[in-house]
Amino acid sequence: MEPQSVNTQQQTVIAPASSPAPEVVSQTTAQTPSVIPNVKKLPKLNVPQMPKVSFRINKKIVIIIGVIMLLGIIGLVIMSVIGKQIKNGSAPVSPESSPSPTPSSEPGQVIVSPYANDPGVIAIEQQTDDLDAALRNINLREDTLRVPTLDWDVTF
Amino acid sequence: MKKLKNIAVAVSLVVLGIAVSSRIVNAQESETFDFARAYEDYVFTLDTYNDAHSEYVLARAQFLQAGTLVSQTKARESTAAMLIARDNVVITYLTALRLRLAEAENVSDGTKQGLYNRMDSEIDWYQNHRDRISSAGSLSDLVSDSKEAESRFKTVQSVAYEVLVTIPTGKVGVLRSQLDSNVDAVRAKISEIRASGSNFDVSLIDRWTLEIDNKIVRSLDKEIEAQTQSASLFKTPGLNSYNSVIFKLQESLQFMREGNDFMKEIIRTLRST
Repeated sequence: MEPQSVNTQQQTVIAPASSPAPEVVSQTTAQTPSVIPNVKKLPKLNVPQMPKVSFRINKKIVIIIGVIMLLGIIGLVIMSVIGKQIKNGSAPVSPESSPSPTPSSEPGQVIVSPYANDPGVIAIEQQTDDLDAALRNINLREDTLRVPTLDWDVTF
Repeated sequence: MKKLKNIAVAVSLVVLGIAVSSRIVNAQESETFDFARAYEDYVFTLDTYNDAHSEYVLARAQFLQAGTLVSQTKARESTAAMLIARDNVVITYLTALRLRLAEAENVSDGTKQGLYNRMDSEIDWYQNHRDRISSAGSLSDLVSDSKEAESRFKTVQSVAYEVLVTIPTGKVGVLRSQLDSNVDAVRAKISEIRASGSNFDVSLIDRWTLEIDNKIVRSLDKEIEAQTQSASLFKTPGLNSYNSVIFKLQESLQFMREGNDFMKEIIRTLRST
C-alpha cells in the first residue's frame, strides 16, 4: 500500500500499484466525482481535525517573550554594573549620563585652592566656628536672677 | 645613727607641715565667696521667706477671725519673722547680683563700680531695716515697717534691672568684637594673597567683607536702640521694659549671626576655589 497524501482542502490520491493505469489525481473536495470520470471515489478519511491555532499569533507571542527576555538580560547587566560601582563606593551613574570623570593626577584638571590647607585660613575658620557656636548658644536672660516676687501687702 | 634619726624626723615634720598648709590653702579656696555660693544663699533665704510667709498668712487669718490676745501675739511674731525673712531675700538677691556683675565680661570698671555702690547702698538700707524690726512692736508698727521696705524696693528693682541689662549688653559686645577681629583677619589674608602675586582672585571676597561690615553696623544700631530703651527701663523698671531691651539685643545678635554666616562662606571659597 502506497502512502496517501491528504490535504484538508485538496486531496491527492495516488492510486495503488496494482491498478492498470496508475495516475495521480488531484481531487478537490468541492468537485464532484462525476466531473473527473477516472478518479476512483475514495472513502472519506477520518482524520482528526487539527485545532485551529493561528501561527501568526504564536509568532507574536514568541517575539514578545524574546523581547522581554532581552530586556531582562539588559536589566541584569545594568544592575550588576551599578552594584559593582556601589560596592566600590562610587555613586551610580545612569546609562544616559555622560561618562563619569575618572580621577586624574594630572595637574590643571582638578581645581584645588592653594589656600586649602593654609594655616592662617584654617585658624580663621576655627575662630569663625567658635563664634558660630557662641552666637547660637548665648543666653541673654539671667533667668536665675530674676527680681524676686515678694508679698508687700501687709495689713491688719 | 642618732643624727640620721633627727634628720628623718625633721624631714617628716616638714612634709607634714607642707601637707597641712596646702590643706589650709585648699580649704580657704573652697570657702571663697563667689557667685555660686551667693546664689545658694539666695535660694536658701527665698525658701525660708516662703515658709515664714505661709506662717504669717495663717497667723493673720487666725487673728482676724479670733481677735484674741494669743492670736494677736502669734500674728505679731509671724509678721516680724516674715518681714525679716523678706529683707534677707532682698539682701542676698542683691549680693548674688553683685557677684554676677563682677564676673560679667565687657563691662567697664566705671560702670561696675557705679552699680556696686548703688547695690551696696540698698544692701545697707535693708540690713538696717531688718535690724530695726522687732516683734515687740505693735502690728501697726510692723505694717509701717513693711510699707517702708515696699517703697524702697522700687530703687532695688531699678538697679537690679540695670544690672540685668548691663550683663547681656556686655556679652553682645564681646561677640561683636570677635566678629570684627575675624573680618580683620580675613582682610589681612586677602592683602597677603595680593602681595604674594598669586593668581588667586580675591576681589570678590574683598567685596564680601563689606557685606559683613554692613551686618556689624546694623547689629550695633540695634544695640544702641537697646541702650535707649534701657534708659526708660531705669525710669519705670518692670518686666515688660526689660523684655523689650532683651528683644533688641536678640535682634543685634541676629545680624551678627548673618555676618558670621558670610564669614563661613568666605572661608569655604578661600579653601575650595
